[in-house]
Amino acid sequence: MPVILVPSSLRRYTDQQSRVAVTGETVAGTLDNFVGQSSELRNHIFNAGNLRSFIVVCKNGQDIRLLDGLATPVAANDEIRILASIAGG
Amino acid sequence: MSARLTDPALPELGAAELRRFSRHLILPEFGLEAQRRLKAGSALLIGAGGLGSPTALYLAAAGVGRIGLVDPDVVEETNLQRQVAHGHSTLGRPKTESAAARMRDLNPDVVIERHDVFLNVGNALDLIAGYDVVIDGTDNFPTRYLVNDACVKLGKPNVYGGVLRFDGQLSVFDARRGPCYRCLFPEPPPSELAPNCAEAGVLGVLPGVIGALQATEAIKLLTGIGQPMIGRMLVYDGLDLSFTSVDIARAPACPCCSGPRDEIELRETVMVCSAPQVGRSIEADALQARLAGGEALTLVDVRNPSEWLGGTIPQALCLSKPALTEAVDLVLSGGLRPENTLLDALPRDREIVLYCQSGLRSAAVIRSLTAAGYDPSLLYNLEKGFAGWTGPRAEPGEARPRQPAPAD
Ligand SMILES: [Zn+2]
Repeated sequence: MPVILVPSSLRRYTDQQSRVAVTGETVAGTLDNFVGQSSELRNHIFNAGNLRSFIVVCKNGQDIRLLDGLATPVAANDEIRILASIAGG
Repeated sequence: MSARLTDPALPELGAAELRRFSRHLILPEFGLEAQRRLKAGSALLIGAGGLGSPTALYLAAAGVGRIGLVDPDVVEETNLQRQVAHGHSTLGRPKTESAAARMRDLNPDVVIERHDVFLNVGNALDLIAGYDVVIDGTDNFPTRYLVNDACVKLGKPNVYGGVLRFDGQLSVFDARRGPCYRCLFPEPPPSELAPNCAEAGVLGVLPGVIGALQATEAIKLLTGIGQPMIGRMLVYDGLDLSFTSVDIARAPACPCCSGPRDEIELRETVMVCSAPQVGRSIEADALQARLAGGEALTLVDVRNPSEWLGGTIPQALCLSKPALTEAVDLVLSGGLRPENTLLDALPRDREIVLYCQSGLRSAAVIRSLTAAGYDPSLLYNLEKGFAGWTGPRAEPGEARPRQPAPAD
């Protein structure tokens, strides 16, 4: 199953898990399964169906905007990394 | 860069410098020319805090000729858990002064330029124009967007580092050769999704890790050695101890770097809260007047126990946001009756004023309480939170905050 790599700012939605295995054939599908029933988590990542402007998603270390965006196909061993901007210094 | 290899305009190194930097000079990739380029180079550090501490110390020690420090703050005790350029002896002193003293002790030859100001739309271009490399070690989104936009406009490389909790990010944004910060993150998060280090916490050594990497990238940019992190972002996870590099893309429609540079206009970034406003708000002065008048209102400090130790409003009941949220969840799930939880301390028929440090967490608690059946017209959020409170404070040990016993 593909694995979602979760940044610490989102782990309060995942019982503090940093890796969550989910099914899905595209980036959109895996993210949809990842946010699942949590409306709060969905709201943190998506705004009206689009990725929020402070969230970047990578497949196997590449920004999905270098690939096919949310339509990028996902295979069983792929890693989907969510990056959220952080401002602390 | 290679054209500068034998540049006679580069400053010579004296005998003392040749001794001091001998460990650099024997590096085949570095050598005398790179050391001379460092001496000729300049870096501007935006922020002399967690990230700025290690970058300031390492860049001074490495022999960068001129270093600017931009920070309007003074050293506070809570800084010392991670801001290692400062110390007890400089509590209350400007951070730029405190850091400059440590930098001079490491390298008396470095020219240090102190700018005890907030970077703002009016001064950003003038400040940044005077340096070869900019290092973003600020602690807030508006300044990060300002640093980015000014660097893109002036064609300066921006060595970016960000930290929160156990996570770090590092990249070099140079719009002449790759993406800028806005290509990646066009807008800041709404404020309710953007906790800062004071609210979310930061492992003290984390900015040390990321700041040391920022210093590495700055040295590479100034000397021309190695491959800078342009078009890549390093993602550090301190809990798993993993470093991952991801390829990041230039955005064809980037709101900053996709058009002509001279048309970029600096503007202030305002953090907005996108969550619906629930309940009412009250200003610090109005609350102070009502408390002084002896009104029977319930005042609740929803910050964490560690924050209560730094002082509270004297009349406040200390009930942390996690504890209150858990109580609301238990009630909503039907697991417990309200009177068997912390909510028993909060009357439903009287006005309640809630506060946290900035007003964000208390706004979230008001939303939860409303969901649990409280009348939002009786719930007040203290504007600007404890940070904006100028009235009397109960200091630790002076007046013990009242805290009801947790429900069984
Ligand atoms: Zn850009």
